[in-house]
Amino acid sequence: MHLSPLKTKKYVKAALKDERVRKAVDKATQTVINARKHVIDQIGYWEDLRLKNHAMKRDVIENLADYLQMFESNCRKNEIQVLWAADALEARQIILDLAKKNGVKKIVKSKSLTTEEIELNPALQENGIESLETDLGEYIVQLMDQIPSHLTMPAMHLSRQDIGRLFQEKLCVEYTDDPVALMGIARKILREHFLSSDMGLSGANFGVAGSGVLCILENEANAHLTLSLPRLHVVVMGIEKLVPDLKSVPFILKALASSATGQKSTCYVNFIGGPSREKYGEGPEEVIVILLDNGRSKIVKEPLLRETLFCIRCGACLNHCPVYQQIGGHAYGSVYMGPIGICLTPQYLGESEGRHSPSLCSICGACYDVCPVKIDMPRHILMLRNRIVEKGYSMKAERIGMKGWAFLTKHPMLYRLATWFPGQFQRLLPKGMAFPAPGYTRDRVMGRFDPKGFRKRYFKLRDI
Amino acid sequence: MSDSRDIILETLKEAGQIPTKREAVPQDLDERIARGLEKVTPKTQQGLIEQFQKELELVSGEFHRLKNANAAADIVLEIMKQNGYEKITVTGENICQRISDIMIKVDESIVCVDPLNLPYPERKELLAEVPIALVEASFGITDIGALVFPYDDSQTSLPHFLSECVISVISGKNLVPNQFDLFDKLPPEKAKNMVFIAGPSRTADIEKILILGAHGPRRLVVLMFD
Repeated sequence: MHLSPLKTKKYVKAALKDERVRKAVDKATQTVINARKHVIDQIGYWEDLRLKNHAMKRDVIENLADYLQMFESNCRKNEIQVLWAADALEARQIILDLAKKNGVKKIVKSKSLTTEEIELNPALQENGIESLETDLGEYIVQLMDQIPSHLTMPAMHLSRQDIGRLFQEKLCVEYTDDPVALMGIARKILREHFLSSDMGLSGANFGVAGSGVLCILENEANAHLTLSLPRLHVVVMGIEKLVPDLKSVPFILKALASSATGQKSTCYVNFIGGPSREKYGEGPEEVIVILLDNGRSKIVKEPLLRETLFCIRCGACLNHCPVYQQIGGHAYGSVYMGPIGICLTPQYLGESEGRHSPSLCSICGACYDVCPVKIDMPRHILMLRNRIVEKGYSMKAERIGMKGWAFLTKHPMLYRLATWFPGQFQRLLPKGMAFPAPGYTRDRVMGRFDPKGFRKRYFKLRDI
Repeated sequence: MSDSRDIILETLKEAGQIPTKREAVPQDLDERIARGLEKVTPKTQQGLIEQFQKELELVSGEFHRLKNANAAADIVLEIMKQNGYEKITVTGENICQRISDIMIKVDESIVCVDPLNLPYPERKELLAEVPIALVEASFGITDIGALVFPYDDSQTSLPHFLSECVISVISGKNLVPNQFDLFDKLPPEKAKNMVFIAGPSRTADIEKILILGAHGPRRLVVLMFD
């Protein structure tokens, strides 16, 4: 399934009509919101933690060239191979070349947004390589040929009945909608694949520059099985996902688990410091990390927007976003969704292709309030909106409307007439009917105007 | 070195010369965090153990505080009997070996598997068939109820993930209050390859309903010795 951020309007209309998905998204996000609050209330230093993480990520992003070179050098000392990919095409090619060189026919994958970003699975399929998602939610959406609808809860838009029918159809098993039984079915099937795959492919939550170590957080144990059972472990990681050293790690761990899933810690935290087959008799023979740019270095050059690269992909902004809660993840038309997604999409894809994304926001600021690294998303969204207008990518009707508004505000008499007119015109309408505003009143009820007009009413109230 | 590497680094080096206006970071930030941590850290060993137990049980782990290897062997045998397990993977030094020796004396039919003697891929194939593992944690992190397994100590991690039931031994003396203290204590080389385990594997990907035993163990039992 390929979505495009240019078709956002169509996806949003469909999402608003889909009551089932909205209920599922509401239930899932509320559960995490409550759990997060419960955990954070117990962290007495939460606001200081946010400041610390913000400062740490700022240091990394502003000195990213140095930290990347440090990371590369330390990885090499740990016998981790480091490859660089300028864009999605190069990253895909690197992986295909590695697969070919190593005779890889089957890959197990743990959850990785970067591999979604580079659209890896279709490329592997085209080249006759079987690639299986192993995170339960990712496995489910893969079977459905969809993209995830949330950063950390990929199948949150689906009910247990949907999943039961899916498994019955695609896996040829008896129908059940019991979640434990469904997990059991997936566990059995995927365990076979873990044990027989040639390559394990994962992302990384972060890389530790000072030690050349990769860190992967998870709850299901699929990531550990992915990185430890196959002969080859390949990691695709965005260049911005570094922390300076091991001492920085606890600050990020504390913030990430509590913000993402409302846990004090994820069930497993994996630290990977190199191939381990020779040293411990198990684990991968080779570990390869692919450092992915794909537009990130361009963002670092923007001093006002580079903060959007601080993101640790917790998904807290999505959970608290009133827009996301109404439309779900697919409506954004992109792998990156919610408040951080609408900051990243126009930057990664360009203002033309991402021109609708920053509109999916009410600028309420809830995302900034909950972001564990204090990314001021509302400010960035407004900045991106300005850019899109300046470059001429805003909608024609919007440009005309804004020009009209600007004209009226420069001509006070005309402005007064314009604000007086609706209150008079509505006298011609049936009693109780509001002034028609096509589009706006399709899903909203608008009240009747005060016939006195805004100015008279304003001055009257001001004098009270 | 690749062209892409050079281009990316060149772009980033240029970017690094463009400063950002930044708010000053409070100079006492680290102290404030340390004070915040101190407020939630138990002051006594008993307090640490109780906190560890509470957090472990919150993530559906099971906790037993024991005096000796005999008591541990009893618990392990009971679990094996309840579930019909005949084989058990045993790793770790000393205490785990003592426990397994006692178990074999009590029930000679039990088969103890030592994964370190097995080459790969036989190791993974056999461990995938053994339903229960007895392992030893090097540290416990009390504020999150997690066990720490540096591979330099455990030499293996497959039993911790392939088994249905993991029983981990730990000394109460090896508890640390939080991850900050752990990284202060742990030598950097050891910290490079390790795993934290906080409870049995889980997922909530189906309607946010918590299910224990996703792809890893369904059960985690901790046996703490003073």
